[in-house]
Amino acid sequence: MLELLDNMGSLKYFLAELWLVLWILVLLIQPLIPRWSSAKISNCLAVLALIGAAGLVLALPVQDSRPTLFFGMLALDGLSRFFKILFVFSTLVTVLMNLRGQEVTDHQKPEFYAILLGILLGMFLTAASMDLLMMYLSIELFSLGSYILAGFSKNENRSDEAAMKFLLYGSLSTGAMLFGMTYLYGMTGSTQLLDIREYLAASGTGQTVFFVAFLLIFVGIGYKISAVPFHFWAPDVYEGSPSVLVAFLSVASKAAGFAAFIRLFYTTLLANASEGIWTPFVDFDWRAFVALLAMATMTFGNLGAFRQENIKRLFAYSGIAHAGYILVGAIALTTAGVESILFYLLTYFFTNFAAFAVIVYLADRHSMETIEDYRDLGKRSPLLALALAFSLFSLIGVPPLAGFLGKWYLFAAAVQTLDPWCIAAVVVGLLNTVLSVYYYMRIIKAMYLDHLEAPPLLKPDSVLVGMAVVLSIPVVFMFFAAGSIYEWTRSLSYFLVS
Amino acid sequence: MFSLTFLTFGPIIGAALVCLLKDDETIRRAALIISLVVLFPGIAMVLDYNDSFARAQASLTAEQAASGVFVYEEKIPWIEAFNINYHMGVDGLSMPFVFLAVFLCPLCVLASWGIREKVKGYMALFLLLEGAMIGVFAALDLFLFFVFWELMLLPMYFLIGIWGGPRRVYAAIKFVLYTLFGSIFLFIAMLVLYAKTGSFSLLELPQLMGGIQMTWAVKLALFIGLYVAFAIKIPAFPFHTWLPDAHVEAPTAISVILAGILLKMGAYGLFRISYPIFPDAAAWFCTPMAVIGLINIVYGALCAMAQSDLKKLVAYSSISHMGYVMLGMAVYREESLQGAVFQMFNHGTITAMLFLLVGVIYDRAHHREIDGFGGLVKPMPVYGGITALAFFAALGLPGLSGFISETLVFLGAFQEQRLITCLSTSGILLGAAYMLWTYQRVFMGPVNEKYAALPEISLREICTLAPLAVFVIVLGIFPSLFLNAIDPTMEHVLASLQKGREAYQATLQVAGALVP
Amino acid sequence: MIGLNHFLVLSAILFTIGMFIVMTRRHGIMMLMGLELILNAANLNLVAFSRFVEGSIRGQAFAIFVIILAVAEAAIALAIILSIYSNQARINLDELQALKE
Repeated sequence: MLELLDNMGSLKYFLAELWLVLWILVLLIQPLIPRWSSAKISNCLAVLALIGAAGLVLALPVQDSRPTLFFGMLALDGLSRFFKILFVFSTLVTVLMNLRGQEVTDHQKPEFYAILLGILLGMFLTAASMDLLMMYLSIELFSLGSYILAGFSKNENRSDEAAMKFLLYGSLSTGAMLFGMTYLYGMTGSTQLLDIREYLAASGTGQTVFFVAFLLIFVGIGYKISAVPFHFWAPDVYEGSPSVLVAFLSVASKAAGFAAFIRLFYTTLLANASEGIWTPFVDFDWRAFVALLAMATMTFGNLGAFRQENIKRLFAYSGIAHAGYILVGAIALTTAGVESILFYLLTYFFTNFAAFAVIVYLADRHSMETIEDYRDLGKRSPLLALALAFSLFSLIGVPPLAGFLGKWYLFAAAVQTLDPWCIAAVVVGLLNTVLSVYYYMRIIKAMYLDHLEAPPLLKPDSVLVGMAVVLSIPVVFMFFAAGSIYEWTRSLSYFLVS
Repeated sequence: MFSLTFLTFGPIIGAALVCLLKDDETIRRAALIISLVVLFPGIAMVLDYNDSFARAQASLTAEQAASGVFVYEEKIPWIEAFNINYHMGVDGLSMPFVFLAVFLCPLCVLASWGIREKVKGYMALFLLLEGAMIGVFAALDLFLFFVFWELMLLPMYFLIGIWGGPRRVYAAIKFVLYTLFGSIFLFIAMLVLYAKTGSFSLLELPQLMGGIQMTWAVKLALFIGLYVAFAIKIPAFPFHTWLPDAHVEAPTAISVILAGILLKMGAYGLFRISYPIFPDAAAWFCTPMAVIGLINIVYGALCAMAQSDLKKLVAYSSISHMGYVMLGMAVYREESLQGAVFQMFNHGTITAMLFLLVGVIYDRAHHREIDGFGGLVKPMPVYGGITALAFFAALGLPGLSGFISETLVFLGAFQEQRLITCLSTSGILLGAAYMLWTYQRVFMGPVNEKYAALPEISLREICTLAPLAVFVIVLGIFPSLFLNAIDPTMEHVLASLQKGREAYQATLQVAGALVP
Repeated sequence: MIGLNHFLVLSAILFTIGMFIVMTRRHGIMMLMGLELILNAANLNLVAFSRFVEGSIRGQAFAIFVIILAVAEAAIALAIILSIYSNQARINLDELQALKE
């Protein structure tokens, strides 16, 4: 049963968000106090804020009665809990990567962290929002924050350009989404997702206007998960923005997009769950639509990555391709599909952050951004090269690494439906996996198979090397506990539909 | 108590241990010791196998035995949400190859003693490869099988790509792309089978397949998909083009592993996965398979004859020899099936010898041009003698093991595929021709002055070759040692295949068409 | 009598014009104005639906939030455009060449 909590009653479940607001204020005030204004202190404050937020999120109660906060604005369910955990740890990793970073200069750090916490707040709300207004506001909150941070790099021309492109196209996509939402509101007479669901279940989605509305909403969400054809911003933004932000965007922004995707589309569009399988509404061939998008997304992503020389750009395309793989899980339209998306995002979190710990280190400290710069890394820094190699293999999906398990769950969930569209998407996904081998292997080849006469030395940085190693441990050893980790994501995959 | 888990993960843990060592010489010794530590339980397994199998057979009810008798089984739930188990075990089909893997690896470590660069990486990757190979043969869960199957790719890519010849990068990526392409089909088949039956167990799947509805077209598609996945590894024509590249560029020991173990995995996969799960589709595929076997035999032999590079010649002779395996598998007779498995094992020992011998001469002369040598018997009489033995074994001289397996294959195949078998026998002739012609050009004739003073084969190199020679001779004289051990399992395979053929013919009669 | 349809048609026209501007113009400020049109088209929709369909003030409240967000967006966009202009003296997206394939 759903339980509507009033404003005061909701507050005790809203502590993590309030805590973040508090620390955003603290970080804004901190540089104004002369004795506190060193970068070290902002680092400490940000880490403290995030550890506290992580604690508060983990301490959220898991209960059978499913309360919605603030009169049905926010959900307190497994899905929001999972995504909040993912977001808070993504931010924590990002801040840790930035501790000694130089791309974001020391005097910018307080603002950087304050805005980063603002983005995190937006993502928290996105994952939980049960209302179109809430969803729009929270998506804008984290989008606006990321536009600002994209312009933070000390390489101003490149960074400004990235920020501008990011903002103009991003606002266009959220504008389209908003426009779609207004139609949804107008047709159903409510902004509450559950009301919309009821309306649609009663009267169907026969009218064209619903198709237009959902299409426009998908533009906004597709932009966030960088699905084709809304992917073109990613390469430029990845290349121009500060590397730490790119690391954050590649995981958290994508996850937030998928959180909104699952929340909005699965809640409103899919008919009642019977034996864990949702059936799509008859007059909207949702599965074919998403299947085609997924296939296009992975193929374009992989083909685009082929000729890239810049690693950050290459990872932008790799991120696009992975968005395509994740969409395969969405085609399944089953609970297993949602579970597999969550699990994949978890593996992607470890894999991509492990890779980015290396990329950030090399880009930030040594301005090494091209594949050519990575030559002989195996000798110059064996640990970094090994961590990057494992994450690349995991991105390819070589067993038994984490990426393989993730892909396995996604594709297994899709094939289990035995639907031709699903199987077609899986086949295309697997062919794409083989395609992707080529460009990931280019990096591996540069690191291990190319030799330099006198390789330039690398300054050691214990924090980033340590992070690369720590993050790649789950990448390598996740298969030991694949069953129980999957059970954990499964226990968090429920969300409010009835 | 004997444990397959130890065999599989021993080398993988060993690989981690090797990473901790510093000195090159210590690393080599450690790798050798680790591979020997795995070898002794392997020998114990072979000695104990017949007794254990008899005990296991006696203890099972007829119903349980219907899914095959396995020994040294270990089963632990792994991913319960998908009914995936960590399930290991061997039968007559896999036991010889588990043994072959543990047996060849110490020899390969010895043969790699001459590796000078990055010894630590080499040995660690090699041990990882050993563990994965053993895992492939011991896995009784499809998912587990797939994990090990793919896991082999990583070390193989680096071993060819870093320590290989001049075109190593090309060869390594070609190998990886070919294999991954094949794995796609394995992956899809695995997912569809799971979606239909809810199981990954290789023991349960054949039974469960009987109880589900699956259209003939889907069955054929899955069977052919699996066939492509395995044919790439065998390698069957036309998927063979990666093999010469990989062999020529790989370091000697890796060529040995490639030919000795990896190629067997293709045929093993067909035996273990395709045949039991799709026996009716397999019956449909008999004649095409025999034809492909014939093409492999003749085409491989003709290509071998045209080669000027010694290693390439051995690589193409591998293709030819694997053709006999496919011919044997295409015919449902006990002789030919046993012959196919025996040929797989013999090819493992004989081709391993050939590659090691090529490695010996390459280390001395730094090239492999057949016409660049001549009269090598004079400076290296012992080497010449061992090479003669290996060449004779490869061309199927009576008294050596290759002869028995080829004869068994022909004996069985002739009963069903007369024409193809008759044409295939030309392979023996061609084999003899290129082997003897090569021997003549390299070892006979006037002594090439450049190589008049080549040092004789060293003790270490003899140590790598002698155990293999023993196998070639002993199994040539007492093939029953091998055949008796695999006999019960092969009977079971044959019975299930025959049932599949009956089912296939029944549907054929009902439909009255080629495609029921 | 002016009804819901008039508003919807007007907002659709505004949306299309806004979309068209953002798609075709390369000038930063012009694109920003196109974005404003899109957001205002949405506002018009919200208010109209609120008045004619639902009869509550939910839509109006939504519109107020959108107006505030539009301001925030414009502020950030102008800040970035200013920064680019002061560094490179250019605002045209096609002239920005630091990030290319």
